[in-house]
Amino acid sequence: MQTVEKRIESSEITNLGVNLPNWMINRREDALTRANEIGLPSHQDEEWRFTPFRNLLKHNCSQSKKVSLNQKDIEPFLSLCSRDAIVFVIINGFLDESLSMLDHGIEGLNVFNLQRAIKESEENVNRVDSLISNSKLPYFAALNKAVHQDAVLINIKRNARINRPIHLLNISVNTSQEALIHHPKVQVVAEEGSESFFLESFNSIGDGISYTNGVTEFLLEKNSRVEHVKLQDESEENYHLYWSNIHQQNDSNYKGCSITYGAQFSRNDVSSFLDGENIECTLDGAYVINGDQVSSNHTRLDHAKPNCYSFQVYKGILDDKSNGVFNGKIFVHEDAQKTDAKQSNQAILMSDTATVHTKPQLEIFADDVKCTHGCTVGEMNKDPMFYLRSRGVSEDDAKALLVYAFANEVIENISNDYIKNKIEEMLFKKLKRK
Amino acid sequence: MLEIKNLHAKIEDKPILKGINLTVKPGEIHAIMGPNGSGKSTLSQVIAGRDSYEVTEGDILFNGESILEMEPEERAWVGLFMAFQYPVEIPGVSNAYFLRTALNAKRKNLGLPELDAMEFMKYIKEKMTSIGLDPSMLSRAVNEGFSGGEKKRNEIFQMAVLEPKIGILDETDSGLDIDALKIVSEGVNMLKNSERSFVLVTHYQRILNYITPDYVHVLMNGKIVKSGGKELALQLEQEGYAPIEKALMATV
Ligand SMILES: Nc1ncnc2c1ncn2[C@@H]1O[C@H](COP(=O)(O)OP(=O)(O)OP(=O)(O)O)[C@@H](O)[C@H]1O
Ligand SMILES: [Mg+2]
Repeated sequence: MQTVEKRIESSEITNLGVNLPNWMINRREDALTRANEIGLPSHQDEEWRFTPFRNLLKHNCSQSKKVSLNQKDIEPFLSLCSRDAIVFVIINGFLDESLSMLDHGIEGLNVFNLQRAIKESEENVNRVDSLISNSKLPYFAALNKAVHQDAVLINIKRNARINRPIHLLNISVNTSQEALIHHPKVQVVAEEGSESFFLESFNSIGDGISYTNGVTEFLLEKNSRVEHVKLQDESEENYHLYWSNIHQQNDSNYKGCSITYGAQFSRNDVSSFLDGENIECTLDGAYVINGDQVSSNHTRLDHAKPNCYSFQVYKGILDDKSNGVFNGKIFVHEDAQKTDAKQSNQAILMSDTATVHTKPQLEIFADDVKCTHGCTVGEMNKDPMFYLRSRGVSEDDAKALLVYAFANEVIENISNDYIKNKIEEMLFKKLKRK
Repeated sequence: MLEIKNLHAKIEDKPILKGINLTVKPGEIHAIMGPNGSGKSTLSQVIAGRDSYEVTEGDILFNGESILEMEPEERAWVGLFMAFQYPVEIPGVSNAYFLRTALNAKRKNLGLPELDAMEFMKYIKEKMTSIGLDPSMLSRAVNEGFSGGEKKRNEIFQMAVLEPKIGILDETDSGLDIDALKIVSEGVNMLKNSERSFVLVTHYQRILNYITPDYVHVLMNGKIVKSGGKELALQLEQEGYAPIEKALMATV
């Protein structure tokens, strides 16, 4: 059988240098069975229909090993988040204890690596892990669940308000000739009434080809609030796969924003299950790509109970021969009366050779709901361009200003000003790279 | 100052301007009137450098030099300004930021130091009050959600800030109430001097009660078919374009 990862040794599943509890070993083995069942992306698979994945299957990877970096190596990535950040550095999927602030001393925040989580918080690990059964996982998420070597497990205690941003700083390191894959995994339990902010960044070091295959899961208990900014700026040699699943209880509020600048290929699958009433869920995103980059973004919202709100704004800016996909699914279950779901998805094509496929998919089984979705794809609009230039704004500046304004509708919603400005700065750089 | 010579322009193979000749000297005010679809906006946009129109013959000289090869922003830097008949809404770009970028681009080109946000605010403050614009509009997105009249006033405000050598106003008077019309006219009269010229494209003689033109031209079917003094506007208001059309037909 063909896999992205060369050959999966049984030791990768069972032997992490820790005594894994039996339920975990079983679940890992089961996840591998699931992955083998689905197999790699194919054109028959509806989920991969519009995503050009040929390059993704070009390499035969080995799993990355644990490597260490020093403070200086990570300095540029630390600056992605404000200085008050509580930083956890994850290198090739392993939580680096010496670079991370494990002794942050903040009340109400517990962070463990996999080893310690099994000892101290096994119940939570199991709880988040069983939110979604293996049989529902897509290939790469199943692969992650089978073979991830470490994980970051975060517990925000009841009513804790963590007023400093938590920075999950992922770095993929590959300086070898061989393609490597790693499987970062994050699980967050936001307990009742808690509040927290996460910046989850993905960057890379080295010229080697890396596959990042991340899984991030959130459980939001009653009345909790989580803001989660995901920022992917890996090297353009890299492949980035990311699957995030959110489970929300009554009165909770999850606000997610996914920013894609890097990687030659990225695929993001983000889904939220609104399993209660008066829930708010925002899944925003912006992807800004050029050259031969591919970015494929998929969201899924399940409105399971009445009186919930969901908001989605996705913006794509595509130049050169880049290729984008947006697929937004909204399921309104039978019980979910008074659902209010808004989805909008827009893309600007900056060149004749860039392409984008978008597909909203609404399935509504309740009768008293408000669902709106809109989608526009266009070239850079000529009227505003001419208007700005006729006032003396140069062509390049006018372009940058308009594209910036376009993407900013997503970025400006980030509540942390430092991170917002940083992401805007990166946007300017990305747009001027040509 | 502005010399338009035998200008022909087309859009998507449809000829629209068919030999326009017009000379505007420093300090002069010219009014251009003409029926819907006669090419007035086309002329304005071609002067401003819109590239969807193709100039097939003739030339436009500004201070003796052809501007046909110049980009729209370069035309702005040398002192051209066109107020749009339909000002464009630009969500996400604030008025203040846009205008400062435009002003600084022009200043840079003239070898003047750029203005920082504070200096800029000081510079525009009095211009704002004289045009009767609410300062809150500065932080709003360009023209977004502005009423028709506010958009037109914003055009005049931009012109006041950029201080062009020539202002081409494409129906800035349309859709204005009496008060706004007065304010817009005052704006023009305030900017008017012996160096600065204006071309007013209009359908109505009423704005000419406030701004006195030196010349009035009639544009029909892509050509200037008649020129005269301000009394021509009054005559058009009373008789419409039919008599001119008739006279033209007779000469063919
Ligand atoms: N993009 C286009 N494609 C085809 N024809 C066009 C286009 N733009 C303008 N035209 C045509 O050019 C002609 C002149 O239009 P223009 O807007 O210059 O008229 P105008 O004199 O400004 O009219 P109004 O008084 O209504 O503003 C019209 O017949 C119009 O339909
Ligand atoms: Mg017009």
